[in-house]
Amino acid sequence: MTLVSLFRAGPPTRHAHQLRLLPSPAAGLAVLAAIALASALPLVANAFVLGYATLVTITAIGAVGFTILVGWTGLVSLGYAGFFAIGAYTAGYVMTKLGGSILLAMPAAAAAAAFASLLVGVPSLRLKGLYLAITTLAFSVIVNHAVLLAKPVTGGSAGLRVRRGAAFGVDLTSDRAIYWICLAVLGLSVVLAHNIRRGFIGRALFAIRDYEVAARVIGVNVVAYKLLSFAMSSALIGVAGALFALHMRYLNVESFELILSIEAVSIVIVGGLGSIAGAIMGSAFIVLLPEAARTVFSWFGGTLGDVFSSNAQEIKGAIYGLVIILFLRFAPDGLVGAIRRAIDAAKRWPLAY
Amino acid sequence: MRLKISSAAAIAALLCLAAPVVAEDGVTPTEIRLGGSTALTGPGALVGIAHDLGEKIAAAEINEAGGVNGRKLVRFFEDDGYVPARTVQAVRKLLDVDKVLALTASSGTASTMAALPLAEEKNVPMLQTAAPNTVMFNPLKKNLFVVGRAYGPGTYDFVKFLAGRKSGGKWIAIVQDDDYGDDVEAGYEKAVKELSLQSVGVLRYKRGQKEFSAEVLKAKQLGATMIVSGGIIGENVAIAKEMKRVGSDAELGILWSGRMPALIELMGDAANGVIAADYVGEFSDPAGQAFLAKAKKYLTADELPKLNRYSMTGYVGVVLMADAIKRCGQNVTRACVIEKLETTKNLETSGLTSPLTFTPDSRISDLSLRYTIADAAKKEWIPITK
Repeated sequence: MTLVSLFRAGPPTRHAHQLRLLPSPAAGLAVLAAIALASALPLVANAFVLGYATLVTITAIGAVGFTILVGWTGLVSLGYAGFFAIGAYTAGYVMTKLGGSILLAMPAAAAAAAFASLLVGVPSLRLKGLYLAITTLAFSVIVNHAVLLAKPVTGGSAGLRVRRGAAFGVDLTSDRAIYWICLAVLGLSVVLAHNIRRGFIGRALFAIRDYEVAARVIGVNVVAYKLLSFAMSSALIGVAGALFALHMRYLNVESFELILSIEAVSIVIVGGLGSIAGAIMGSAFIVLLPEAARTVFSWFGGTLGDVFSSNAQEIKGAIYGLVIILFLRFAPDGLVGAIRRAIDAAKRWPLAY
Repeated sequence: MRLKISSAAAIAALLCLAAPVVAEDGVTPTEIRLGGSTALTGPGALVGIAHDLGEKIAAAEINEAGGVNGRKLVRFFEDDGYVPARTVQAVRKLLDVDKVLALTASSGTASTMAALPLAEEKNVPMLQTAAPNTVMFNPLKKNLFVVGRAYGPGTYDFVKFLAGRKSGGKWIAIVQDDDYGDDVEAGYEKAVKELSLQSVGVLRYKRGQKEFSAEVLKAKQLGATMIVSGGIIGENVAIAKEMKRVGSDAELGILWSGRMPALIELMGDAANGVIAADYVGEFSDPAGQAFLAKAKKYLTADELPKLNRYSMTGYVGVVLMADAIKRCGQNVTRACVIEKLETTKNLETSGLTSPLTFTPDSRISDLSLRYTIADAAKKEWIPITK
């Protein structure tokens, strides 16, 4: 397959269409432009903006992982915070207590989170929907308590200071270096997730999501693929946790509260359930929402502006709720769907259909 | 070769002389920028807003008196909602966008520890005046200075004080299952041992626990007449209310974290007789009255009801920082401020706390405690010691 064929548009009925990484040459150009802009950001942005960009990137890696489980396999989970914490503390331990670099810490975090997911996944195999959500929520609560109890590893309630160190002789203490590492890992995660989705594994997961009995009938090993989905998803969330540890340099149980899992669910819904691009857009949207809301409210000026701008965080929950309701009502396929419809409408204009 | 090296050295020296003096971040000929990040929204806002107002009073007072060596104090305050990840972002903004010289406020232990690597990277002087947790000063962190009383020694002093008021009886402690609880328990056990008190045990509760019927019933069954609580705000309210519900006639002693008028309101009648230890004074004592007079001068009518003990800790923090900056003279650098902070000796804080002292080997100014008793009818903490 040539590079050109990857970007070539074609009728949806062709097998080649299903193997393409991107839907059109224009999409390819947009992706390249986005990569170029994201890569150049540290050269122009101050540390504050770069900090937010790094957080968005880390969140996007976790959201891509979460999409595999929730979006593709249809398993509703509230265990995001638990897997994220396992990844973060594993990486923190490897980098600080064992003196390893982030290159060692990331695989360790992925492995630890994947292993933990199997522990949750096996007993949860017969559960679906709300029951699975509650089980995974309980898992997150257990992880939080375990963090407090495992003082020699996690530092308990006092927390764990994380040493950044170096990799391949390259200094990783600068925020720019951290951002570029996060961006590179996000790129790899997206390519990996795309390949999983295009291949047999992705098809099997979609089959399980759409009709589990039918999937079993056509020969999909539902047990194995559900566990695989749990493991792959959690591994990526664990990697996001590792990068969070690297970025924050201090881990405390208060950073892994339930709100993290709620945010993850919000991200995949707002971005577009099952879409990788949606996971990235949703991450940017949800991470930047409180700051953006505060800025927008401050434009109102006067008492109204003061009330809104100083209470933006307090009404953050309400904003999340409102945003989710609005998306479910007016754009159930999320930001990705809304953008797709806007592009289609622009192509057809001035015709309605 | 030697000539070449000498020439190069001479040119380098000339370039150094010709180069403009790079001013420290946050210092201009007319102003000094100070930053802080606390919870101005969410459940922690009760603490954060009060702290911010205390700093505002101190800065206004100092500026009215001519500033610090002629430079006005300008404050930049960020809301972190008591979330460590947001503290990091807030501190990034304070250091890189607002370019503050020093940090005078941080929400709590986790937030302070989260911000510490950023502050250490740029050698930024940093204060913590609201949560004197051991992890922040032991081991010593070069640029972090803690004002308060360490929880272990504080509990020890408190138990000694309580034992002095009423001899005999059975004692019990209810502590959180974390490092803070460990400190409180250590102080309690030490006092029990030294004073030969009859302790019927130490009960540990889960962090975030909301319901305390089991602990209070256990204390009642064991015949406890004095309960030393290591709770914060919600925990103390729940314990006091539960004590009233089960008809416990034991006395309740609490540490400073929740000693606010709001706590009495939340406890209702159950607040009567609750004794609290604190390292800052109360508004009804002379120093508190003087502080209130300043507050009325510099704050708006809407802001006054938001004052509480954390306003005093905020005030003391700015006074401490301003003193260190002043002793640097005109050449204010972060390194100099840290050096002056660690040589602070018996700094007066208008009577709000005992005098502040730091040394190069100690990053906590261990303050003496004051004690108050709650009056539910007046909704006030009444001083019981000078």
